[in-house]
Order: sequence, then C-alpha cells, then structure tokens
Amino acid sequence: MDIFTSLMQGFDTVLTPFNLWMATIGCFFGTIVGILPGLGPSATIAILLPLTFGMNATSAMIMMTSIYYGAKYGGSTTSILVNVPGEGASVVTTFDGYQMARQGRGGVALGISAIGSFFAGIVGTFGLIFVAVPLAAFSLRFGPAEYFSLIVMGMLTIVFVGGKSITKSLMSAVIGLALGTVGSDIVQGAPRFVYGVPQLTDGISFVTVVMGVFGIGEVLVSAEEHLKMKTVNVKFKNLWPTIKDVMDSKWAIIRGTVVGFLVGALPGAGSTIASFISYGVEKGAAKDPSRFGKGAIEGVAGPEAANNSACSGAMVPLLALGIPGSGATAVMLGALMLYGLRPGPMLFTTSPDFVWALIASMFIGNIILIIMNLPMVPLFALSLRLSYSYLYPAILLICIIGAYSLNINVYDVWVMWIFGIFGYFMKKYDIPGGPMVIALVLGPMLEYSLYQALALSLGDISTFFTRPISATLLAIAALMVIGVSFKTVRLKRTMLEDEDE
Amino acid sequence: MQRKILSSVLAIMFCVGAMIITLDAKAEYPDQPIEFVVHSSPGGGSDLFSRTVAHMLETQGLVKQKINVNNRTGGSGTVAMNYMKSKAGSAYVLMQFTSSPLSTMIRGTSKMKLEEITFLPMMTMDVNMAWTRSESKFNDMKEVIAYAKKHPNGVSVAYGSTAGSEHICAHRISKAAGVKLNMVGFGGGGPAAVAMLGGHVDFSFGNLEEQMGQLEAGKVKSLGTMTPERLSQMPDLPTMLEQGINATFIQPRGFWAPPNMPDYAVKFWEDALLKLYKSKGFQDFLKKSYMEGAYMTSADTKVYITKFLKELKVDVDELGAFKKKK
Repeated sequence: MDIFTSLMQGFDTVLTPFNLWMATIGCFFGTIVGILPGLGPSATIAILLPLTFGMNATSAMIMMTSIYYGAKYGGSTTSILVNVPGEGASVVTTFDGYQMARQGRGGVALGISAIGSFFAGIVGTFGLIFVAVPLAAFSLRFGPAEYFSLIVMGMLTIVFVGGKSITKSLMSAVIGLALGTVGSDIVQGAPRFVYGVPQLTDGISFVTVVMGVFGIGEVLVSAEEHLKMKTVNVKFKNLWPTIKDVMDSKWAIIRGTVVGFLVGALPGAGSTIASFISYGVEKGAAKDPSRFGKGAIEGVAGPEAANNSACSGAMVPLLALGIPGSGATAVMLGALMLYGLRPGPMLFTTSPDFVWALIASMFIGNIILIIMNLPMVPLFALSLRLSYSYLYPAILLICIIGAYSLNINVYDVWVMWIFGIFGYFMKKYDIPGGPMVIALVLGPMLEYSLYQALALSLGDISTFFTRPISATLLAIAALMVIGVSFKTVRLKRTMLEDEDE
Repeated sequence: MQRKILSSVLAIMFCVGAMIITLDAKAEYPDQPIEFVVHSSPGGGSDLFSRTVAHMLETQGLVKQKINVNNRTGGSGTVAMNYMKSKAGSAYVLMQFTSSPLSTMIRGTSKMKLEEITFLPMMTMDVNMAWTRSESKFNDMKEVIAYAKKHPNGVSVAYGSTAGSEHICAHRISKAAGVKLNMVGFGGGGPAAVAMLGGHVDFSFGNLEEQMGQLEAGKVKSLGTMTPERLSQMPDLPTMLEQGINATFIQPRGFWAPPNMPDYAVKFWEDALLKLYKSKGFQDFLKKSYMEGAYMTSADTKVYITKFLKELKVDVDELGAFKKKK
C-alpha cells in the first residue's frame, strides 16, 4: 500500500469547492467556540450535526474535524489576553501566556501558540498516518492501574514544578481534589456533598470553576485596586513573534507535539492532561525553571502544541478502534454511524477513500486555521490597549454568557460567581489557581481508576507496582518528588548559611 | 349612501376574513416552536436520537414549526424532569425517555411521578449484548457462568454508570445464573468497552452499535444478546435465554410530554411520530444505529413502561442492597 498515492487521492477528494467551504466554515465556528469559554467543541459539533445530514460522510467529517481543531486554536486567545481559559486544554496556557500579555508580549504569545498549534497539527496528522494502528494497540494496555499512576505523576508534576511555593500549590490541589468529590460516586451512585441540589449530583462543572477563579476573580482583584493597573503598553514590534522567539521555542514545540500525540492517543486522557504534562516536561527541561510563571515562552509553546497534537492523537483510537477518547470524538463517532460508516479496525480497509480524505482534510484544516488566525494576532494583541474600564465589563460579559451557554441555565452562572469570590481570596493570599482546577478535572478520574484497579485486583494494592507501565510512571513521579525536595532543602541550607555568615 | 353600503360590506368582509384567518390558526396546532428536552449532554446517544428525530420531522414536513432541541442536563434526568413538571399543561414541550431518566424516576429524586406523565409513542428499543475480546477463553455466556460457579468473583465485568443499563444486565445475569461476578463500574459505555478491549476485564455489556466495527473485524466476540428473541439485523447471535440463562433487558426509547398535555396535541404527535416511524429515512437511521424498531401507541407505551419500571425497581433496589453488604 503506497501511502503517498493514497494521500494524494485523499487530497483529490477534499479539494472540491464545497469541501473547502465546509472546512472553512468549520474552522471559523471552531475558532469562535474556542475563544468563547463555556460552549465546547463537542456541544458545537452536536448542534451543527443536523446541518450535515444532507451531505456525504466525507464533507460532514471534514466540517467536524475542522471545528475540533479550530476550537484548540481559539482556546488560547482568551487565556493569553485576559487570563480566562476558553477550555480545559488552555488552562495551562494562562500560567505564562497571561504574564507575557502583561509584559506587552501578548502578540508574541498568540503568534507562538498559533505556530505551535500548526506544527503540532501537521506532525500529529503524519503521526496518525504512520502509527495509528500499533499505537492504538499499545494504548489499550493502559488499564485502570496505569491511568491511576499516570494521573499521580501528572498531578505531582503540576504541584512540584508548578508555582513559587510548593505548600500553596499543594493546598490548591487538595482544594481541587475535595471539590472533585462532589457529586454521585461511581461505586454506589450515592450522592456526596450534594445538600439536595439536583445539579450538584453531576459534580461541579470544571468550566464554571475556571471562569470564576480565573476570570471573575481577576476582575474583582483589579476592581479593588481601583483599576490602577495600567493598560499594557503594546509596542508594535511585539505584535508578532520574531525569528528569535520561534527559535527559543522550537524544542518546546517539538516536545509538546510528541507528548500531546502520545497522551491524546490514550482513550480518556485527552488534551487537558496532554497540555499540562507538556508544561511539566518544559519546566523540567528548562535551564532556569524559575522563569516559568513569569512569562516563559516555552510555557506557552509546549502546551499549545501538545493540545493540538492530542487532537490528532485522539483520532487514533477513534479511527483504529472505534473508541472515542474525548467528548468531541464521541460525537463524531455517533455521526459516523449515522453515515453508515463503522469506525474500527476495518475502517482503513473497508472505507479507505473516506479515511484518506479525512486525513487530507486535517492538513487542509490546519492550513486554513493558520491563515485565519495569524492575521488576527496583532488585532487581538492591540485590544489590550483598551482601558480596563472597557475590558473588564467585556470579560464579565463573556464569562456570564459562557457559563449560561453551558446548560442554558442560570445555575451555572451562580456557581461561577461563587468561585469568582473564591478566586478573589485565592489571589489575595497568592494561592495559585492552576493546581486547583487541574485537580478538579483529574480528581474524579484518579478516584475512579483507584477504585477500578483495586476492584479488579480484588483489593490487592501491589497491582500498581507489579504492572510494568504503572510501576514506571510511579517511579518517575517518585524521582521527581525526591529531586525537588533535595533542591528545596539545599536552597534552605544555603539561605541559612548565608544568614550565619 | 352607496359609499356607506360599500364600506360596511368591506368592513363585514374584512371581519369575516379576519375570523377565518384566526379560526384557521386555532385549528392549526402547532402554532409556535416546539421544544425537545434532552436529559443528557450534546453528543450522546439520546441527544443524537432527539436531534435526528427533530430534523426528520421538520424536513419531512410532519411538523411545520421549528423544533428546538435543548439539553437540560443534571442529576441523570432529574433536572429535565423537574422542568417537564413545571411545564404541566403545555402542548409545546416533549422529552425523550430512555432507561436513564426512567431509573432516576424510580429512585424518586425528581418531583415527577410516573402517574402524571403524558405518554407519547415508544419508538425503538436499544439492544444490549455481552462481548469479550477475541483472545478471551470464553466463547459464550454459558462458559462464563460455568467458570464463575467455580471461582466466585473470578470473572470481572465492566459496566458504565451505576444502575445503568449495563449494570442491570450484569446483575440480571448473575441473579439468573446464581453466580457472583466481580462488577466494576467505569462511568460510561466507552471506558467500559476500552477496559474490555484491553483485556483489563473479562467481558462487558453495551449497545450493539458501539461494537459493530470490532465485531466485523473479528476483534470482539459476542457472548449473547439480552433480547427476548434473536436480532433481525444479526440473526446468528444467540440470546441469553437460548443459553439457559433467564435474563433479558431492552432499553425502551420514545417520547413523553408534561402532565396534562391537551388531547389534540397528543393526537397530533401520535400521528406525526407514526408517520415518521414508517418513513424510509427513519428506518434507515434505525438500521445504521442498530436499534430495533418498536412503535407503540401512547396507551400501550404507558402500560409497557409501567411494567418495565416495576421490574427495574427490583433490580435497582437489589443493587443497592447488594452494595450495602460489601
């Protein structure tokens, strides 16, 4: 089977005016959805699905994947500009992206995130071509025990390499874990900490917490400071990333792409986990990790690349096994069925035209997105010159609309306000919000995999250390903790010695 | 004078015309947009079903109004049903029922009571079956049961949500065969299937369409279906009953309306849904999504669902009791 010929045939199928038009519409909607917090790509795809009923499967799928990718491109915009992540995968981008924007380098951050996304999208698509089937087989080896260890490693990465103070990071993560326990538990379906509020049985929605803590919290703190924060002085030379910026982040982008693709291929892990594992990797690889959280460009480039290649990665289990690895791919799976296609091991042999057209459309989608997004970068960056009296009401409005649009329900808006006030106090006491929201996402997964692993081993805890993949992940986590602890002890010692002298 | 007559004639004509128009409007239900309530989030099976039905009703001209599909998620159907309760008497709100809000209703978490609901026709049945990896040592449910008899808790089965369809299936099998299975929850059909494919559990349950690709590729084998009879679309798969295990479960899917929906509206929907059910488009959709068609009139649906819930309640209660002992 000649891959190149097949791919060319795929391009042949895709490059019709109608399909290009579908891709463009998808990219446009996707970008908008990514920018607005709240409405995610999966909901958008589901809502737009009836529009595609009259089309052939290829055109419909082109539109859906374009929305999916577009959302990842757009997600970073509000993270960088106003510290409000558009979706889970963009939370990590706020750590350094927003700092860059405060330093007047918002354009650079936006540009790098678009370039990183583009590179990752293209490379991830190649990855999909060459390793889809073996990688899918490998990803199945991740059982509950492996997921547990993966999440433990990821959480420790965030806590120990996350912020200035390990104590405060830990505190934040524990609060997140506690919030994650709200809702029906998986073992008995028993409601926990629900207090008779029916919506709480589904748990606390991650997106509302993110918008509250990051968006509303930010606005409240600034309002208290009487809007003394000066508008960011955006210089024209900082509207685009320079060659040097790209060179500085090239390794971060490459690493992020690989990490993202591998993690994305794990069913259920998804781009959120991919993005912050990448952040941890970047911080570990950096010569001077203290730059992170203060506007390090790698802290934007790596995770942004990772969350895009994770999308390509998520297509691996979808196409090769018929298993959706994320909300958006689950909707696509449903759609594929409606078109009479059966995702699974046979798809590559039974409908090769469709698969290759889809892969070709991913290339096209990424090209459309970079063309669409790059010219917008200076425009967005200049928007920071607006005075805060205009900018903050806009942020509030975006957050309220976003929260309301989640379930068309005012309840979510209230939850967001409560967490806004919470976020305000967190900011006052300098407790980082990142670990909390990430723990809120991962906490339930952690708990489920712990329960599943122990239920399968009939209560034998050694299952985590006897399974090779799980043991390796835990070992990495242990080494990291030990390493960081030594560093802090050494730092403390030198500080004490300095005082003695 | 003539002018007066002319103007009064015109006036009378105008009035009559206006009356005819208003009469027309009165007769013509529906005269405002319809809302379809979905209890689950966009993209799930129930959501897709509602959106497809809404789209087909519009395009086939069966409903001349816009149908808006709204996801009122929360508490596995609690929020949606409380909303339905608040819409009592409305002729413009419909909700899809599946086993999930039904079992929520049994647990009594919502304000809605079974007796109050206005039932509309049932449309389909979702088929559940048990399957395992092709590498597995088990070839049918009989072998699983025989092994489990010797090794209590030695066979693990993945299910999705607690007291959800897969959990009920697993429970009914273990009850009927009198064996103890190690049931492990995975929070959803997708993750449960992954655990089965990866060999982390011995077998799992799910809807037929979820595993079609794997079945055809020979990566997965069926251990038996939970239907009373063999499937029309896959006649070579044996049922559990044939294997001597007295366990069946099918998930009804259809529509219901708020309490006291006006009769003319009920009649309208019975008619529209029957026409839709008979249409080629809908039958094709059933084939593609591997559901079994099962149209029932509103009255029959009510009887059927009442019986279905009675049986389901036994299982849900037992599952609760079963867990307390743990």
